[in-house]
Amino acid sequence: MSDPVPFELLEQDGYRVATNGTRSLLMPLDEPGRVFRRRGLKGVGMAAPGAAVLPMLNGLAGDLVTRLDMPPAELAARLAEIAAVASPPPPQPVEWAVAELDGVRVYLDGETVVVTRKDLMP
Amino acid sequence: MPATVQLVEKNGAGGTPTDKTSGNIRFKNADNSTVDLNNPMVVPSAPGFDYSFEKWLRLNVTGGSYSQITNVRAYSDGSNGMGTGVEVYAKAVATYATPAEATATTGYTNFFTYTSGAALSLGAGPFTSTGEKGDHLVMMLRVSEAASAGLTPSETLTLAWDEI
Repeated sequence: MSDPVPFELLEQDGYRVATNGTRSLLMPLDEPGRVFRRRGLKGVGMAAPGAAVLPMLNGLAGDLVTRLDMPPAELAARLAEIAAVASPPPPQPVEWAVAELDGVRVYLDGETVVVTRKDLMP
Repeated sequence: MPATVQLVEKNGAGGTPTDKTSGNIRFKNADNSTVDLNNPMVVPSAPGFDYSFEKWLRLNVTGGSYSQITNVRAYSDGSNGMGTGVEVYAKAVATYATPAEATATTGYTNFFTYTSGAALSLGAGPFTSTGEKGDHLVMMLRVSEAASAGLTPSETLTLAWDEI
C-alpha cells in the first residue's frame, strides 16, 4: 500500500484550497472558516516483529529436531506463518484535509468525505 | 510541501534522539533505544510489579514548508493487546529528564484509555520551524506476576497533529 499524498494548502481564485493533486477541498475566502491539514502517523510499533518471530522459530526448530521427517507441506505452512508475522504493516502516514465553518467540519482523506461537528482523529 | 515529521526516542542525560518513525519501541530495564533481548522485563515471582525504564518520545520536524503545527495528540487503539498482567502507562511532560526506571503509576494514565475520541494532548501549539515540538510522550510498561513469561504481542500508538 502506498503512502497517501499530503494535501497542499493555497489560496486560488477566491478560494482556500487543499489539494493532493487528485482531490480538492475548497472554501470561499469570504467565508469565516478555515482549511487545514490533519496529519498523523498510525501504528508505531511498541514491539518488534522479531519478538513475535523468535518463539515461533524456536518452536519450529524444536519440532524439527524431533521430527526431521516433518511433511513438506506442514513445514512450508509453518514457515509461511512465521513469514507473515515477520512482516507487520509499517506505520502508516495519514493525510486529511479539513474545512471548518460554523462548527461543521468536512474531512477529506483523498477518497471519502465526512461531514460532522465532531473532532475526528485518524 | 508539508512538514517532514519524525517520532524520536530520546535517551541518556543529553536526550540523544533516535528516529523511531518506522521502527519499534522496546520497553526494557535499561535506558537505550536498541531493540534487542537485553535487559528484559521480568515477571515477578511474588505479588508485585516490574517497571520498565521510561520511554521519552517526541515529535521532531526535520524539514518541509509549513506555517504552523497545532493540536499534537497521541493515542492507542483502546485495547490492551500486550497480554494479561502487562500494562502500558503514559503522560505528557514538557521538559526532558534522563529516562529513569519507573517506580509507580502516580502521574501516569493507562495508555489504552487514550483513544481517537479522547487522546492525550502533547501541546496545543502553535509550533513553527524545525526541531522537536510539543510535550514529550513519556511511557512505561508494568509487568505483574499475572503475566506469562516470554515475548509480548505487538501494540501500536498513533500520533496526530494539525498543520497549515
